Formats: sequence, C-alpha cells, structure tokens
Amino acid sequence: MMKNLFRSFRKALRPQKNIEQMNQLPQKPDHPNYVVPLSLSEKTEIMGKLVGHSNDIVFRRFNLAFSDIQVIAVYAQGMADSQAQNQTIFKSLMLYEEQVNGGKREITGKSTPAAIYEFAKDSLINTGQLTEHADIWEAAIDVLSGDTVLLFDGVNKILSVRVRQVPQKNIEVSEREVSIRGPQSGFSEVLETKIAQLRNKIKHPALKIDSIRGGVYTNTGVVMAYLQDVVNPKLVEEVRRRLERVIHVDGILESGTIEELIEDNPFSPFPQVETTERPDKAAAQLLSGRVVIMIDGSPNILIVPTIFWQFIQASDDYYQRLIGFALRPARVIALLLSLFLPSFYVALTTYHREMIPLSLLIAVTAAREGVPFPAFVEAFIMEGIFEFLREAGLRLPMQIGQALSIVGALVLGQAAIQANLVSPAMVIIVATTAVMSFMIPAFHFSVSLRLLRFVVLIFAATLGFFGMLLMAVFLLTHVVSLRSFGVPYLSPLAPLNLDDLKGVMLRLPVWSHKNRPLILRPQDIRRRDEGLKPRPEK
Amino acid sequence: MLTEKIKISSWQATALLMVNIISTAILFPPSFVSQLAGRDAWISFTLSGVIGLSIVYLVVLLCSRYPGLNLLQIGEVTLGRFLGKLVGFGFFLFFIFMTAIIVLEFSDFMATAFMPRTPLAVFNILMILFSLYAVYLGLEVICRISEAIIVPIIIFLLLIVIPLIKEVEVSSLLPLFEAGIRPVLRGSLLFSGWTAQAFLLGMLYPHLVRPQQAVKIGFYAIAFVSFYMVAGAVFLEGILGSNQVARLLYPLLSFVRLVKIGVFLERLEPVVILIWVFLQYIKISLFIYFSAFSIRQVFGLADYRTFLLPLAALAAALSLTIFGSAMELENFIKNTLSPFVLFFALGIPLFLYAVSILKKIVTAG
Repeated sequence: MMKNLFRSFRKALRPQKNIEQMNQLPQKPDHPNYVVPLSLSEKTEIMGKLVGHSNDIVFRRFNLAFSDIQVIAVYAQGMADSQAQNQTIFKSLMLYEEQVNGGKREITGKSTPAAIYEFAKDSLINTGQLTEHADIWEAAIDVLSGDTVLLFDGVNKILSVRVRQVPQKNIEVSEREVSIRGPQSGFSEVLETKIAQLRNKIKHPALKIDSIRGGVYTNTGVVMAYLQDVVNPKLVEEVRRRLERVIHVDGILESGTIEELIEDNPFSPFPQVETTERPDKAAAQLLSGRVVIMIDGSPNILIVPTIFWQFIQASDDYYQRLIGFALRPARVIALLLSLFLPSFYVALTTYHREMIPLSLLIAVTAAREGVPFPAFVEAFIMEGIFEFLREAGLRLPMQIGQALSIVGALVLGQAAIQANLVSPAMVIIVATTAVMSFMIPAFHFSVSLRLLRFVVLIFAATLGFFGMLLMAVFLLTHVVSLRSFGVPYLSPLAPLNLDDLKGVMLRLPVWSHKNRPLILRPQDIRRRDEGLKPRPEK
Repeated sequence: MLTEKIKISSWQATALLMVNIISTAILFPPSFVSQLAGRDAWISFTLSGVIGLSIVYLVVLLCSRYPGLNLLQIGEVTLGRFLGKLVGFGFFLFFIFMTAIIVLEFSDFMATAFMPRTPLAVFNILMILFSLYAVYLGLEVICRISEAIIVPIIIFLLLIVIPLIKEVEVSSLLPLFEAGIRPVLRGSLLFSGWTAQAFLLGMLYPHLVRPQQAVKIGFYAIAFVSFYMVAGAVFLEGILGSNQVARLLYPLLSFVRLVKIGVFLERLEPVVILIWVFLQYIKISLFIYFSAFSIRQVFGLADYRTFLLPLAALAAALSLTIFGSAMELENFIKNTLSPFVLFFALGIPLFLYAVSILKKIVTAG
C-alpha cells in the first residue's frame, strides 16, 4: 500500500538528473580516455587528473637498471608500506645487476619497451600481489587505495603492485554478540582479513567470493560470499542484481547503507537483513545456504535471506546441548511480553477491571492509590524514561555510564515511588518488559520492538484489549506479508514447513535434524548423514 | 500484481476454512441450536457437519470439471456471459452482506460482553479499516495469517472447555430425541448456515497447490468445527443444562467465566477477546477480499484493489444500517441466515453443476 502511495510522491519530488553533472563524476570506467596511452607524459597527465593532484600523491620518476626506458611510480604517501615498496619495486628495478648477479636471466628478444615491461613484470618484481591494468581508471583507484602503480614509457599497460599498508585493527573479542561457549573472535574491520577469517572456518573450494566496489567516492570493497555447491543459484543472482545498487551511492561507510539498499520492504519497522560480527555465525549461515555480504571498514556483515526467527537465535544455542531447546520457546514468550506487557497492564487496569481476579485487583488498586496519573500516562512516561536512559547510557563512556545507572535506579525508581508519582506495580511492569527485551539477542530487532511497544501502548490506552489485539493482528499481517529475497519472513511457520519448523522452534540434537532450511531451496538439501546418533557399541 | 500467481497449500486452505467457520460458530449457534433442539443439540451439530461435507463434495465435483476456474468463472462459462455476470453479482451481494453481518456480530459481541459504553461504529469502522490492510496484501497473506494463528487458537479454544471436563454430567444428555426428530433437524438446518460456508473452497480451488486434496481439506475443516461444536454442546448440556443454555446469548463466554485453572488462573476473558479479534479479523478480510474479487470478476477489472475503499465504506455503512437493533440481528441469524447462505453455497453450485451436466449431454447427443 505504502509502495504505491509513495511512488507518485517520489516521482514528483525526484530531482531532474543533470547529465552534465553525472559525467563529471570520475565514475565511468568505459570512457575512451581511460585507455592507457603509450607515451609516458600522456599517462602521467591522465593519471594526475584522475588521482586529483593532491599533495600526498607521489610521482617518482626513475630509470631501470638495465634499460634506458623511464618509469614513473605513482603512490599515495603514507598509505604505502615503504619497506615493502623499496624491497619489491625500487630495489629490484633499480639495482637489477646486483640482484641477478651475473644475469642468469636475460631479456628475451629485442629490448623493446614491451619486452622490458614483460621482463620486469615476470622476473624482477618479487611479490605475488601484482595486477596488470589496461584501464587507467582502475590503476588510479589502486593508487588511492595505497598501492604503487608503475607507468612504463611506451607500454599501454599499467602494473599495480600491492604494497598497501592498511590501518589495521587487531581481531578482537566480539563484544556486542557475546557467546559463552562459541569462538570468541569477532570480524576484523579489514575486508581481506574478514575473508581470511571466513576461509579459516570453511576450507573448501565451494566457498566463492565475488567482489564489487561500492560508493562513487569511497570505492569501498563490497564482497558477497556463498557456498557454491549449497546455495540456490537464483538467490546468488538476485543478491548480485541488488548489490549493483551500491555502485550508485556516493559512499558506503557501514554495511547498514547496503542493508537499506537491498532490503525488500523499505518501510517496514522490522529488519529484513541479519547482521553479525561473528565469523562462526556467518559460516553457519553459509552452510545453511545463505549469502553473506561484507564490506571493507566495518566488522558488521550482512546475511541474506533473513527470516523472523533468526533474530531470536543466538549462536550459543547451537554450541550447547539442551540450552537452545529450552531457550527458543522462552525467547518467543519474551518477545511477546516485551511487546505487549505494558499495553496489557494498561488495558486491564483501565478498561477491563472486571477481568482481574479479586485479590489481585485489590493489590493493584492499593498500589495505585494516590498516583495522580492514569495508567497510560504512567506507563508512557516510565517506558519513555527507561528508553531514554538506555539510549543515553549507550553513548556514554563507561565511567559516566555507572552514574547514569544510579540515577536511573534511585531517582527514577525508588524516589518516584516514594513521591507517589508512579505505582510500584508499574515499575515492576516496566522492569519486566526491559528484562524481556534484553532476552532478544539481536539488537536492531529489539529496537523495532521498542518502537512498536509504544504504538501498541497507545492503541491499548484508547481501545483496551480490542485496540491492543487489533494492533497485534495488524502487526501479524505485516510480518506475514514481508519477504526477504523472496523468502517469506515468517516461514517456516507461515507458510508452514514442518521440517524447517522443528529446526527453528526447537533446537533438536545435531544428529537428528538432517536437512538444510528447505525454504531457501538449497541445491544440496542434506546437511548430515544418516546414523550419526551415538549408540552404545555392541 | 495481477499476474502474481496465488498458491495455497492444503494446510493453508484447511486453516482458512477452519478459521472461517469456527469464528462465528462459537458465538450464537450454541445457544440458538439448543433453543431448537434442546439437549439433542449435539446431534444437530453432527448432522450439519454432514450437510457441510456434502456441499464440499458438490463444490469440488463442480470445480474439478473446470480446472483453473473458480465458482464465479464457472458461472460465466456454464451460463454464458450475461447470466454468469448476474450470478457473479449475486455472489458480490452475498459477500458484502455477509461482511456487514459478520462485522456487526463482532461489534455487538464486543460491546455487549466487554465494552458496553463504546459505540458500535468504532468497532465496525476500525475492524474494517484494519482488515483492509490484509485484503490489500491479498489472499495469500490472509491464508498465511490463518495458518500462523490456527494452532494457538485451537489450543486456546480447548483451554476454554477442557478444564471443565470433570464437571460434565453425561447422563443429562439422555434421553435422545425426546421431542422427536423434527427439532433436531431444524437445529441442524440452522447450523448448516455455518458449515455450508465451506463452499468457499470453490473460490480457493483454482489456487490450490494440490487440488486433488480439496475434499480432504473440506473434510478436516468441517470435522474440526463439528467436533468442537459437538464437544461444546455436550459440555454446555452436561454442565449448565439446555434450559439454561438456551437463555444465554453467548454460552461459551459464560463457560470462560466458570473456568478456573489451579488457584489463581481464572477469568480467561482476555483469551476470548484474543480468539475473537484474531478470528474475526481473518473472516472479515476474507469476505471483503471475495466481495472485491467478485466485483473485479463481474466488471472485468484489472485489479481487485481498485474499488477497495468504496467497498469498505459500503460494508461499514451496511453494518451500521442493515439491522435496527441487536434483536433484529439475532432474529435474522435465527431465521434467515441459513437459507441465505444455503442458497449461495448449495443452490447455485447445484444449479451450475446441473447445467454443466446438461450441456455435456446436449453436446454429446
């Protein structure tokens, strides 16, 4: 409904595309200017234009040791690892005699620029990370990423040597997704390290990594990973098609930007893409037949397609026996309570007092004695303050955060009750709701629940149980209608798939659940062999 | 959107039919049938289950002759364009009237039982507005809601009656047929107005993933409803007695007020509201969907959503004006609803089936 409504609005509001402006963006790889010219001066000129004549870009002109051909090395100062640069490029090209020691290898054929270039490439530059570009734009991007690019006079190819020194962050313990028993390390921020971490988990040729560059100005590396033998090829195509959108934004600084660009229903309050910073979780989802999207510069990776239940699963569920089995239903209950408990209380005490058992009614009424606000206002204020406290505490340094919790507990809890501004019953309700919302492992999912809690609260305050349940069934309708990359959001409950459902609702023993999620239509359905159930030996 | 192929699994169809019939069946029928049939109410419920089953069988028989077509389209094929459109329009009237009646039943119950000071219009309009969202999203979404909630709803429905099982005095069901068989038959005729709604299978038929299971779908749905109603009737009779039941307007609600689980879990009315809102929401969405769908069919529109808002307004207006009072609604349900439903659920499919057989004979001869 929203989609159609907004389509007309968007059409009206969309700014007219300025074609001149579009062309000015240094973006089009198929521009004829980007073909590498032969002459060195032209190359230098175009390269200078492309990398933007900044002060930190160095054009180092030098001669080869064995030839008169001039070479220019282009690199960004500070981004290159100068030791590696000296070792692999300058030393080997300028001190050739000393290195080859007697010249075991000779330049084959005539000493044309092309032959010299090939010789330098094949025999002298002693590193594995070497790329050849026929497109000068690609080379410029490499320069800006910290690599050293070699322009040979009279050759229409460019050598790019990977000597970039990426500001590294060590692999750290994942703090936002804590696991008791599972692996502790989280994803690194550097894309290459992330890929390595993933490969460390899955050492199999089926793990495929496809990369594109996202963001016109940031040129961020974006990578999608999948298990080729397992994943549904149509899904990979769809992800690839949607990822093309990330090329057309100005910058990708967090995977959240990509999430918003590829999700199915942009107006839904529910997140439709799972994010994680745990390599083991990513590997587990790859094994289930999902696709993982990673970007350079952020430890958070995306997992698609996502179903509702993934947000109430923690990786610990899979590493410990029994825990997952008991926790899954408990989390469903926690989810419902965190969404509906305050509304239930407000509706009950405002509209449906006759439904409260007598002894409880007396207790609640006595507790509310002297409180000047109606239950709704009380609930709204308390819930609001709690959310503010949480939000405030989130962005504070650790030391001040403690002061905040004292303010929260003493001033807003104890003092508010003693001043008769809030009833103790309401504090219990709000506290229970908070605990319940902490039960949900996925933070960004609980954020949407927090917002929806207020909407439900307003409905419950105006229409009692009727309003609350109307909102509940409305939310259910919405959730049921969502899809993530073609997979119904509430599957395998609706549409029902019993085999998947037992894997989602109950965490059964490892040997008993043999199939991958069928809803993802994996190529290879079987996850495990038959007969793995441990039995006493005969 | 139009070319989007709707696929309904057998489980979804079963859940949808169950929800559809049970949602209003738990309201008036226990009281009304027991007014007619007394302590033999449970026999009436069984018999109307049989009537419902035969309607399912008839509709499936008809639909399987025209694979890929629903009841309205079959009407156009067998009766020709004009008469077929007329039948289609008849169905539209049926669906929109039923919507209005269901909405009114809903708000009447809410107002009587829980929120007496809230005007009916509030319930009517809000319920229709919120259902529109589901209608807008389409039949598949309506099916998915019903399959998502059917299991908890069944559990809650059982929760209402099971704790009372020790109170039942089975001996009070005897003697059978005290007043002869006529009252029992009248009771079953009354309730067949509900079981006959399984004819909606004829609207779902072309979308079924496995059409060969259609009879099974109808059977399970009706079997569940009949079982629940029979159990309800036995419980009501065995605990309250038929005189008492006949006097109560909503006997099942009175049940809930009796239920006490353990020492503290009593007063399960929130559960009733939950069941009631969820079930009615689905039923109202489904009937608005079908009225929009029949309009689309009759006038050959590209999208059923075109007239959704006017239709909703019409349904809301009808629900507010069609009956002057709750008494009129009850009288209508007691006397007219069953023939009204049976005409569309049994009469028209039977007629279509006869015509299609005749046509076959004529073309063959």
